[in-house]
Amino acid sequence: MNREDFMKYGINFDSGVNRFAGNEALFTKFLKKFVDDPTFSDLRKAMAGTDADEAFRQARTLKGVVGNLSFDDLFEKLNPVVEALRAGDLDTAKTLFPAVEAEYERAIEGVKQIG
Amino acid sequence: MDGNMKTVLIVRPAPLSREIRTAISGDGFEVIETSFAEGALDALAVDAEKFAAAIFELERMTEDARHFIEVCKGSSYTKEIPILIIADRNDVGFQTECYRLGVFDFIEKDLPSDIIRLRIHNAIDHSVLALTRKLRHVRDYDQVTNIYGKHHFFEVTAKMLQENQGVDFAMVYFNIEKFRMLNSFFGIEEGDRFIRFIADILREIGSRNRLFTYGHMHADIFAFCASFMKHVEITAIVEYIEKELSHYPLAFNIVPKFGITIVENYEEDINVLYDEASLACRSCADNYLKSFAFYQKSLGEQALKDQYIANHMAEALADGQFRVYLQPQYDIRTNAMIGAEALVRWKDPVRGMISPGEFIPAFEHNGFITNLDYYVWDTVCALLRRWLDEGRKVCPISVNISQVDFLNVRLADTFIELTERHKIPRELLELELTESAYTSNPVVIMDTLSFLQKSGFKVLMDDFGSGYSSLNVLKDLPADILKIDMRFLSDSKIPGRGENILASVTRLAKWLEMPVIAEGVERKDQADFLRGIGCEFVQGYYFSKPMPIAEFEKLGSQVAEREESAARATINADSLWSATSQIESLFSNILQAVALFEYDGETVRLLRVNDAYNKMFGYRDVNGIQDEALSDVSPEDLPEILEAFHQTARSRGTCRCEFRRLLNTGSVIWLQARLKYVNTIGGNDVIFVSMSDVTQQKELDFELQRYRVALSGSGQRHDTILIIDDQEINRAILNEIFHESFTILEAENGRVGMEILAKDEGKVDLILLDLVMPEMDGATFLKRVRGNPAYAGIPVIIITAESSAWQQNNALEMGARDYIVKPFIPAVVRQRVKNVLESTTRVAEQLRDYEPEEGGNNT
Repeated sequence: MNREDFMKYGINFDSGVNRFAGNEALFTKFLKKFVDDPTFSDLRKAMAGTDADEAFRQARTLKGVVGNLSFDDLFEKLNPVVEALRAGDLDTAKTLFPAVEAEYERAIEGVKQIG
Repeated sequence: MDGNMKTVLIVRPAPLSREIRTAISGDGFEVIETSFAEGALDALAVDAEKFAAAIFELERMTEDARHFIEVCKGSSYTKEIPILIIADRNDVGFQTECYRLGVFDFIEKDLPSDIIRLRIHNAIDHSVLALTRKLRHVRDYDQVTNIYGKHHFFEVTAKMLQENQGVDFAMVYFNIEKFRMLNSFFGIEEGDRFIRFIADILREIGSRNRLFTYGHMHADIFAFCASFMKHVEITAIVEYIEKELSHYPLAFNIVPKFGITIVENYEEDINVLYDEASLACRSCADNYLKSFAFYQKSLGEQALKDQYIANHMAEALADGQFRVYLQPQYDIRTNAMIGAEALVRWKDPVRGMISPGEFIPAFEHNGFITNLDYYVWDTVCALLRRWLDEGRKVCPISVNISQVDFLNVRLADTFIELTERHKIPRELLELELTESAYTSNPVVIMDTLSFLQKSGFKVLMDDFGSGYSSLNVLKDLPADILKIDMRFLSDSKIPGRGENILASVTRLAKWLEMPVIAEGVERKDQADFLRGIGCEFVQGYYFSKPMPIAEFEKLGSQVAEREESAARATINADSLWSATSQIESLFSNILQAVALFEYDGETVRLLRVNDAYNKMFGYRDVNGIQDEALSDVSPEDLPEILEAFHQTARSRGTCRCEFRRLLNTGSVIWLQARLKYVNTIGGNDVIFVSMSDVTQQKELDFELQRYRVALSGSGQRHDTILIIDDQEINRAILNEIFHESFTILEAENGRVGMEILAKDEGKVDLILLDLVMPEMDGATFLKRVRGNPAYAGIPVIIITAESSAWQQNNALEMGARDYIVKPFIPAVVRQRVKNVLESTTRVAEQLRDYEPEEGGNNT
């Protein structure tokens, strides 16, 4: 996969590699690990519940990971959810969440292409 | 911040947004705007001292900008001024180049204005420049008053004298009587406010006088050095300060005492001048009549008077020019006389009556006081013997002991010998010693007084409130009776405040089963008031003047026993529990935070607290906190407190300890507690505790300790970074960024981080810390680290996913040096780590310059 391929799945390959100080192998290793990372499913669980604080904690954790892995599109969709939850507005967050899920699926699909 | 550093240079062409400008100028910084073409560099170079930072917006590197940065960083005058660039965050190549040139940091353009403001602040506060200047400031300026401290005052004064030889100068030392009393009644905060007020007066005088240096030496001690043409100009300054001080709005009689010395040798060591002035000041301390004194060698009027006194004293004593006068003391309830104080008068054949205020200090100074004191004691003993022989009803007479008398190691024997020779019961001769003398040579004085007490003499503590004893150490001093001078608080500007204090002192004294004699009672309203608060014993002009013995003898027959006070009997252990008891008002009237605890050998229960205690800890009332007396105490300090309770209970004495306590507001304060055993009821010990907030002092100590730790480690290279983050990916990225230049230690939470610190003590140079973690989060970790002097010098950078200014600011307030935001940008992360490590090194270097010896002792 080249950088254009990554871009198709919303992953900014250049900034990711740069973040890992140029270590491409380490970057892709962590990209692959993300498939099994429980953070997203934890957030999904929290979003189904009623505890806005818990959802906020999970969303914020995910934001850190997603940002560091340069999932730029997912990061962009996730941000408003974090902000809504920060304000304790679980309802708004829920309406915004499907877009996050869609981006997540797309990112995972991209990661699985790495082989 | 240093007064010089108030300007920010902004370089055009791109004008800064209004938000940034507002943020900068709103914080008190002046903005100078210029452009590269218009000579931004010149502006900086001409007056480098005044700039806190240089800021410009830049999208890409230009020739002008590179030239500016290179020249700025290449000059020793300007290289420490931090350069901040406002830029688009994504241009990594550009950022890297800027960092390489020496730019301090970037401010991303699209950030909210409050974050931009925060970053500017962090840059200014933590740049090497700021630290250097701050350290210089700490050394030169006193931190409470922001005027020169002793060291720098001496320096500038020496310079002024050398450069102005031929001009007349006087060095003046002054302090405030009973300042510690002010501190303990009104709190350290109020004390500091007062100290700043004094500094303001000096600052104002300084602004009007050209050759005038001044500084805050220590506690309540100030000094200044002023030029003058005539001596009256110096006394005019002294009087001006006195007048200004008398306007200070505090219910406390502010009595400044000044010591003045005239500079005769311009090369004189300032220490010598300072000592002379302080000696002169001491010569008028404890003297109501004098507020200033000249050092003897300057042969002022005072010296001449003293000389006259010294020339005639021996002859006067032999001639019987000294007369013993007696001032009766009464029981206010019955108006019966219960005793008298022996005072001395000097009737000189040439000068007439010489005031004791004049000759007593002179005698104390030249040592003749011991002769005079002995004369009075002997006269009083002889008098008592005669009265007994004449079959009169005899009351005790108290005589004064001077501090100098204690130089005689056989002082106690002298009293025993006197009473035996005259065959008088020892309880008839009472001994008065001023409270301030108690602290002058504690061991000798305490021992002698205790011995005299055991031998049957009663000891009176005179002028209680003039010295340093706080109310709760009273019980441990060898004194049977307290004497309080009404003049002490008579000038209260808030009606009732002085009276309240007097009432508290009386009540506490009663509680300690110590009779109180109020002296200096001059008016009926004072007498009524004393009656009201249950102070039964009085002495003063309102009742009777001091009078010659013959006159006193005519008063004769109404002598009565000094009875136990009625109120004293009603204060028993049970009343400690009752909210309506006198103890309640005792508690309410003490301005210091105090509490009563019960201790059963294991646990501590809170019984009662006063308003000041509630105010300090933010509780509304005592209910509901009974069983958790120590629940808010820092866990690390708990054993020490329990030990203090244990000690106090076991020794039935006193103990003190220091501890940290969490307030309702979430902040932590340092407290100093003084514990005092009261009694034992039902097998449990009742312990009285007074607390004072020593946070400021602790923080200062701590700051110094941190600097020293930083200093001791500064010889080593910075080579170990501890990364604490629960997410593997964050650790992996940071490891990847730094592993080539640093040894990396990793911890997945704060607890593991603490373990690593303990194991590799002294090895970790920097900590990168995540905030949200299981087991021990970042905030807790930071608190622990900051609380331990061994680790507190290690700089911490916070890792946060939070982009809010509040969160970031919070991290800085907790003691972190900077923060980095996820997702990481390696260039930014590297630069922030570099900035922090560099400034740490520089602080250490600066410190080495300032305190080489202490630094040496610490390594």
